[in-house]
Amino acid sequence: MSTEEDPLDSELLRSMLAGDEDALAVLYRRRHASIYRFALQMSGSPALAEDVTQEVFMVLLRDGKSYDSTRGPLNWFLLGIARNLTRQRLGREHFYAPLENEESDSSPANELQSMSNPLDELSRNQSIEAIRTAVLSLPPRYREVVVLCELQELSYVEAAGILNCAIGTVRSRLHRARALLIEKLRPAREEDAAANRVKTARCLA
Amino acid sequence: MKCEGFQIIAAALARNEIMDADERAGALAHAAACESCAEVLAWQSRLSEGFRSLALETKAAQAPPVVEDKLLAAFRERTRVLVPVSPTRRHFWISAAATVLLLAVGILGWRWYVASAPQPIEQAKSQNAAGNVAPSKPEMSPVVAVSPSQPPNASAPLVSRRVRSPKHSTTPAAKLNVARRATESSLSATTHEIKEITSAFVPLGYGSALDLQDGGQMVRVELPRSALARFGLPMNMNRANEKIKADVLVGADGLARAIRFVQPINEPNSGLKTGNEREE
Repeated sequence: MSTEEDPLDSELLRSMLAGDEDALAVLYRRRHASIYRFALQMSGSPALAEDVTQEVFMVLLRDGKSYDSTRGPLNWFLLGIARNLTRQRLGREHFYAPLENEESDSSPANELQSMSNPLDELSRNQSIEAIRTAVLSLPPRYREVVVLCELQELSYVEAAGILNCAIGTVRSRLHRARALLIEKLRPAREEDAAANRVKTARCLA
Repeated sequence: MKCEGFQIIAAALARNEIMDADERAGALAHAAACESCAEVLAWQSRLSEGFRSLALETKAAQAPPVVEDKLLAAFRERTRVLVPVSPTRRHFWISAAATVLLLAVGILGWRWYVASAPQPIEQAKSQNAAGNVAPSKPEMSPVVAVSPSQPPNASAPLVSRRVRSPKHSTTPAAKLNVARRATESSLSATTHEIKEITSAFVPLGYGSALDLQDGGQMVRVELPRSALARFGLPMNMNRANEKIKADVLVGADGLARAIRFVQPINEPNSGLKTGNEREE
């Protein structure tokens, strides 16, 4: 995350709060994409992501003076607002990720397995959809670290700054989130086969 | 390395995180020898690959231009509402404060003027100070007043206007003076064309003419000229049968407090004279 752009975010913020519309436009064009993507990846809803993006900057207009540059770059501040707004909207509007159908051939597990064949574009798209669905089914506290650290490709330090928690918390949540995702994506038939092998062994014994 | 240790660093291996070279080599060697740990590493790698693909797919995603338009419109609205309103409100409060200040200064000045006004009737002052309510012979003072434009009715009061006396009149004479001034000003508020000569107010015997804090009314009446004699004023006996106009100051309780006699300037041979002249 670069904060060395010219002019600095903090300078743009000051100008914006002083009534400079151009400063707001520059700041928006510079930072809105990451906010929109975060909300989109957290919710899976473009409409919600649009609302959150606009609301983040409205909050900045209203409470921009509360930004403390000593606590991190402005982008952390904006993503922190986006995180809170997204969680509020998700809690209020009950955006649910679609339930996976374990009996279907197009289940996330089967789709992810087919990623081993890079030439199959259709399978690749299905695999991406499987990942997206699995991420959306995670609890929010795990989903947000996946979005920040894996999809937005931020460092643990940056994620910790945005989530306002310790780096170790981010690391442990990401570890747990990956384990949950693998559990969701692991094909059920593998587990059934393993269970059958155990039963057979017991019978033979 | 054992399986438990490998499970802990498997995600870091798949994410290509920076780690100790020996630890990495030991983990990879363990995965090569352990089928289940190799499977774990394979799933972690697939997961990381899926994340990269998903991130790549959504990398270009951004809010539609309408969001920026809405935001800038909201910013303009906010700026239009907030910034210009502040000076307007400030001007409003400044104007309001200035108005209140002017009113306060005006009221104080008026009260000071009323309290410090000279007492025109020395005799009335001495009478009021002594509590004497008996009719006496007042000094005739040349008061140029103005009468209502309408001609007086013979029997009905000519003017009936409510007069509120100031509460801060300190001396009885001052109160009487205030009542007189208020009466004059109320009379002059109407359209006037005919000038009059009036006597000073003479307190009546029903009580103090100076207890008019609750207000009062000025009533114009016509009396027989003999009434002049009753108040100690000189009277032309040749005109004893004629009538003379008078203003009666009536208190809020309906009792007459004081009286003064009025004569139009153009009326010949009246019973009232200006200055220190006395009617024979």
